[in-house]
Amino acid sequence: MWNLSKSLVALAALALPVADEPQTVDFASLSDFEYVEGMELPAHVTKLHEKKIRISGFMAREVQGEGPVEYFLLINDACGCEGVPLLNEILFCAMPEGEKTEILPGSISLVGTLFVGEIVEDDCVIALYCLDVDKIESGSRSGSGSGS
Amino acid sequence: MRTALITLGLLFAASGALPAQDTADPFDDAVQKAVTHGRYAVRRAAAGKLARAGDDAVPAMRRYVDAHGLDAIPLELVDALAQSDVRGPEIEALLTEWAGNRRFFWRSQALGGLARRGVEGARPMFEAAIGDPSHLFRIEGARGLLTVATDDEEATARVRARLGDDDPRVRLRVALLLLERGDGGGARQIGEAVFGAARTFLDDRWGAREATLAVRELQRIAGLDVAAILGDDLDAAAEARAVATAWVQGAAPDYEPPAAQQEEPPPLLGVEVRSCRNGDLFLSVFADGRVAAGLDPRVVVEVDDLSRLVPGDALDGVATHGAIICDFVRVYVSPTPGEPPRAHHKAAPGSVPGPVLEWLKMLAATLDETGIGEPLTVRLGQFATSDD
Repeated sequence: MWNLSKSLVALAALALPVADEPQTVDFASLSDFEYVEGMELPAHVTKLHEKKIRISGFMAREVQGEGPVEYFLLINDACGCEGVPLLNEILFCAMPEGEKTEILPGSISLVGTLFVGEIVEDDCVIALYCLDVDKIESGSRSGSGSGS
Repeated sequence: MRTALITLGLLFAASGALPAQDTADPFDDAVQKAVTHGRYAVRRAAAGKLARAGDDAVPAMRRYVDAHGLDAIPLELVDALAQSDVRGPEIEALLTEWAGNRRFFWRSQALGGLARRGVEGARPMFEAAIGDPSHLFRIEGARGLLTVATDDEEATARVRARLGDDDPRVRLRVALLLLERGDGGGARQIGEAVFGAARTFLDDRWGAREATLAVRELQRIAGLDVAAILGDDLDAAAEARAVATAWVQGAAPDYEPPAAQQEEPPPLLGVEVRSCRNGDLFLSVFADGRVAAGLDPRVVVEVDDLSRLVPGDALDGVATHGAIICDFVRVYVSPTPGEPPRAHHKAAPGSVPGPVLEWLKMLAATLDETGIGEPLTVRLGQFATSDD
């Protein structure tokens, strides 16, 4: 019986995600609802608040320019000219304190802590999803890639 | 949260650039905000205000363009004007000018604004646009013709012909435009997208985006609940696949969806040119010597000696070059297929590093007789200088 219990505990431990293992999230699930200012956000996105996640997308600047940045957008559009992403289709990303990054070409994966909720400035909602970036995983064909 | 600090730097950086206007036009402030504000969402909100104002906001926008040039106008503003249904001679004249300017990055969005408004006078533009090199322009041309020439069978036939467009993005969007009007003639093309989520180009899983769009629009337009196709629940996905297949076969009885989503083998190297003026170009070279063109790769030639095409280590490195507003060229070279690239460059017109540009020219010359060398050369002409 003891051995069985120990085995069950071991199996349960294997089945549970490791505490620090980021949850893989994609744009499809973040943006599968019609966002209206002031609305109650769906549970499947609010449950990600302050969670460690991994997500793939394309880096973009919030304002035009060149050179390394401390803040950038992650969007699900390779070109950036096929349409204007909605607020629930953008992650506003911040690099670790004191670090900057180039805007990398192609698809990248980010690992970091996601913050979910309206951020309002001057009566305007400026962000729904913010990500404190832990690391950038540049790589080929990484992540789910699904999205809007 | 570190992101809360984003605001300050950007806001102050942007606000310092605002020139004073010698005018009492209340829309000048909104134009300034729509163009220069450091916050994306604020730019969008200001653009929405201008769009809702219609003709009244046009003088302020024209003044800004006169002072700063057309390239200063961001996508957010043109898109807001395009999505609006506010009509008026001034706003329609502005959109007509912008849509007719091949040098304007966002001419497709401007044409879309005319199309959504059903501007009759723009019909010649719609007819010309449907054969434009830019896929976005072709889509908006189709939208416009379907709006202003609803009873014209010849015009509708020209739109339907785009269901055979080389670009899968055009095929899907034309099919959806037709479906919106109760015409299921593009069901096969919608099926192509729904069942094509595994399609990739280099590191971009573009097929997943197209599948998501197709599934969402099938739900919205046809009331078909097939979203489970894209989910992780295998039973629900199989059920949804059957529903989608039956729907496509209702219009195209001989249609058979692909048996399973199979990922294409990743290419060894690739070139991506995004050009709103000259149209996009996608080129993949596979380890077995196949050279393919298109987002959905179509083999144009097989080469025996890949060493003629694969660049040396002078290109090694990962970087973005120049300020990319819209158009860019991207070069991607893997050491072995599927591995992270050893060379990965994305560059704005006029900012392509010398070795990358020289290699691209060599590639175009090597592929000169395949039908892809000339289109590549044409596009490189745009990127060789900053005169974009």
